[in-house]
Amino acid sequence: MHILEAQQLTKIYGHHLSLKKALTNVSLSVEQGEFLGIMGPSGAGKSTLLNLLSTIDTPTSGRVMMDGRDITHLKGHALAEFRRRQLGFIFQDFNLLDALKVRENIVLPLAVNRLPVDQLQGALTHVASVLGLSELLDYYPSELSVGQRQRVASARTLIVKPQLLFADEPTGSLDSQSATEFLQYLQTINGQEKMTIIMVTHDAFTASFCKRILFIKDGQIFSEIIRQGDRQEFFDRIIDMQATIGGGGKTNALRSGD
Amino acid sequence: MLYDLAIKNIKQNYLLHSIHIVITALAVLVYFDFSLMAADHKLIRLYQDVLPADQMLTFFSIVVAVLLIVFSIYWNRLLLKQRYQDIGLLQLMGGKISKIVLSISLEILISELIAFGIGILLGLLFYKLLAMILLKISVFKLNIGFFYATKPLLLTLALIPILQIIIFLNNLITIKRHSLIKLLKKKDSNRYSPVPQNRAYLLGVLVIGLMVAAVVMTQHVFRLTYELSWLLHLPESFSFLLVFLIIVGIWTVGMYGLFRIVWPLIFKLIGQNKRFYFKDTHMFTLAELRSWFIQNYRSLAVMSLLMGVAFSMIGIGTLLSRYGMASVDGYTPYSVLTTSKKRAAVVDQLAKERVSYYELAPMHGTVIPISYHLQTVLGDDYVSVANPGLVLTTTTYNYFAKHHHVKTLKLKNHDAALILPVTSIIHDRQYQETGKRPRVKIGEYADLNFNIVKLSNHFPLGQALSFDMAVVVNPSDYAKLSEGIRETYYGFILPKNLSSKAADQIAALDQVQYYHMTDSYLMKYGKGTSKKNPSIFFHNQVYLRQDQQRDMRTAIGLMMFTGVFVSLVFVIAIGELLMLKRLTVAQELEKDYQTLLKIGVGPKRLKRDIIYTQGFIYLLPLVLGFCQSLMVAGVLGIFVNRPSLHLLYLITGVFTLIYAMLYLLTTAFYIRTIHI
Repeated sequence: MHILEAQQLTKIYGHHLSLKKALTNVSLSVEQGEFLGIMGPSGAGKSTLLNLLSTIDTPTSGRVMMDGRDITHLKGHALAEFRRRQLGFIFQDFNLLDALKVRENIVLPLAVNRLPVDQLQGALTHVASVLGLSELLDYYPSELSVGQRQRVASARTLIVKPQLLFADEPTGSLDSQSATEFLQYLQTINGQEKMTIIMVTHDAFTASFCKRILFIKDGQIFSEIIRQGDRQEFFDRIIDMQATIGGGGKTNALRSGD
Repeated sequence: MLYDLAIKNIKQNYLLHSIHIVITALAVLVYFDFSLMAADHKLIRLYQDVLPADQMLTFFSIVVAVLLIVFSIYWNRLLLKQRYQDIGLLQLMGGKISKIVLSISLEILISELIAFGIGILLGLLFYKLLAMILLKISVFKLNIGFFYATKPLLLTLALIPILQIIIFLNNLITIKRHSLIKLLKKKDSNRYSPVPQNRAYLLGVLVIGLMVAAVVMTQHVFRLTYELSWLLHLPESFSFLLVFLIIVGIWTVGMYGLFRIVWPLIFKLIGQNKRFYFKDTHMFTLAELRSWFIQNYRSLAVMSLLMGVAFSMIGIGTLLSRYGMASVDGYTPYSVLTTSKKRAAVVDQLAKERVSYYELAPMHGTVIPISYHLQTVLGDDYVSVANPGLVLTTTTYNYFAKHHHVKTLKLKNHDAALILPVTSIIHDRQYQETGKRPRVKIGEYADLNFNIVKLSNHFPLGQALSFDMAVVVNPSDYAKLSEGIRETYYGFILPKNLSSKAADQIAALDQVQYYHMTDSYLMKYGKGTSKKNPSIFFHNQVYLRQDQQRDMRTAIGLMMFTGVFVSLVFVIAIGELLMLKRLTVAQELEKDYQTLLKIGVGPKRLKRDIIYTQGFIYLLPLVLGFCQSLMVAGVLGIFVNRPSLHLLYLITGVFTLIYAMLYLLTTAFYIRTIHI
């Protein structure tokens, strides 16, 4: 069952004298409970695609459907309501509010949803214990390590149990250990809570935690790979596809007969 | 190269420079026009009999210049803070500090030249309009044309190098004081953390206590003056200055504490109400406000104090005008008042002008040295030296009292009523506070030490003839007076004002009448002589209320004109500084607002929060400034009978509207900066 469907998405930036086509006629669908990765070289249009899918930006043409509902042109209160109830975001630079403590950052989306304080407290306790943040609740973000900050950002997203989680280079600022822990956590919630995740990354290791990967090149979908075997095998295929996009890789080698 | 860099920086920071240009141009306009007015002999001549208008305008133009320098230094500091990283990078690439500072100075110079150009041009264009406003509120029916003089222009232009030198030195010192590593750090290193909560409670109580103490002290400023004077054996004037400085000091410390400790603590306490705190975006709003007060407590305290100065200027002007007008308004029942010597000339003149009038019955009295002991709010006896005063009988007084709706007096033997002028420093309220009767001594009569049963400011002569006081006694006591000078006064009531020409002719009949006190303190007439001699007094012989009113309005008009414009510069400067600071905050918080949007906070709700937050931030200095002006008015009000603050309210209302426009502009720019 499709939870998200993009139809003929095109995005053009700039004004009439210098137009730049960031995406051209991109169509895709995402299944409920899927862990989808979006990869591609710099400037390929990965983040643009994520922004269009997640309602952060609007397409020049085409539309995005979620559960059969067109969300492309949602505005104002309806858009805010939709984001609040259905979507979650995790970003590379965490986007935590420096003036608020960890506990306040985490519960902010629930407070915006006007959840009663006791329920809010319960949800906080649960998510903090799952993400190992219970000891850090009274700190300010600036007092935490980058790994801890990313966990706080994740907690803030997960506390609302969104149907769809968007992650834009979520491990970009993390060291390898923190990144692995974080990705394992994403894998867990994807498996256990059936949360659909769409993640943009340029890192093959990070992408290897996904179930399916779309490769974007020059604003169009270049290819798609689906995980079938173990993560190592999937990782090798990702590396090969990255090389292919760059002009090398096994596929190109076979074609050229070398 | 430096020029190109400066131009590029101005283009990139156009909003920052626009704020600088607006306030500088306004200050230059006021400074230049005040200087032009001071040099405009045609204008100044109109005030020569009333006030030294040129000196007054020059003084206030200097106040504006000082404000401009302070604003420029402050604005430059904010600009410099934004450039720390760039300056660090330029140093890293081998740039000399002096050259870097020079490039910033050049940028500021270009901005200043634009502002001065606009200010001077507008000053020339609006000179006539401003001069006409001044003349209108000074009640002059006169047309004044365009005026130009080179000296005011040069004086205005001289401000540019002064500002440049100050800013250059300030920047040079600031950059040299910062290490390269500090400059390269993007965030301002000068950040403050909140005061720990347990200590904040104690300090908060202390701060509130200090502010309450300052307010209470203003209510008892004269008592404190006296007691300090007695305790430290200081002259009263010095003691008053000391009390004033102590109050200002306490209030200033309190104001700093209010922003540094009390407000952050209040937001913290509000946050302890979980239901409220964890609802909507309250926690973000409260955290933002708390951080705003902690980071900016010094400038907010200074802004509030300056706002207080601005409104206090208006408050003082309002009360002084009330004080001045009291001597010529309804308290003075006559249109014309003369001594017997001048009565015939006045009647002739009125007849010549074919003016209908109503003449009151003559008022007979005796001019004689009078002294009194009165316990004032200072807490001890106030003794007037023996000055000429007028002694009246109850019969005479009652006649006028009835006419002017004042209670008639029924005095027993040796009872008396002391009547002080409306503008006297001692008035009803002070008298009521002491609850003690004054004792009055008339001349050298040992048996006429009166028991004062009434203190009033309903002086039948108003302040017309410059007597310090009058004493009303019963006819039998009056009959005992064989010394002093018998004077009879004649009052005329005119149904409408005289023409200016006729008024001038009546006023021209006035002559100064001299009184000499002899060795035995009795009075005799004399001729003009040195006014420095303490035994010689004089007063006018013809009083024309219309003429006095005109002079008073002229003086008040000039005072209010200068006060209002200088205060306006203050208010706009404060509003613009707030705008500058809030837009810097907007740049810092843009990402936070975008995050809030992404987690599903609606733009409408964010805008609403911003409007409230900005409103609170803007309202606070306004309210505090207004409260300070009321405090100042409270102190001055002791001097003024029936103090009326309507003018203060009116001008405050107009200023509030202008300030509100700055608030709305700031809010609009803020919302634009954070892209919601």
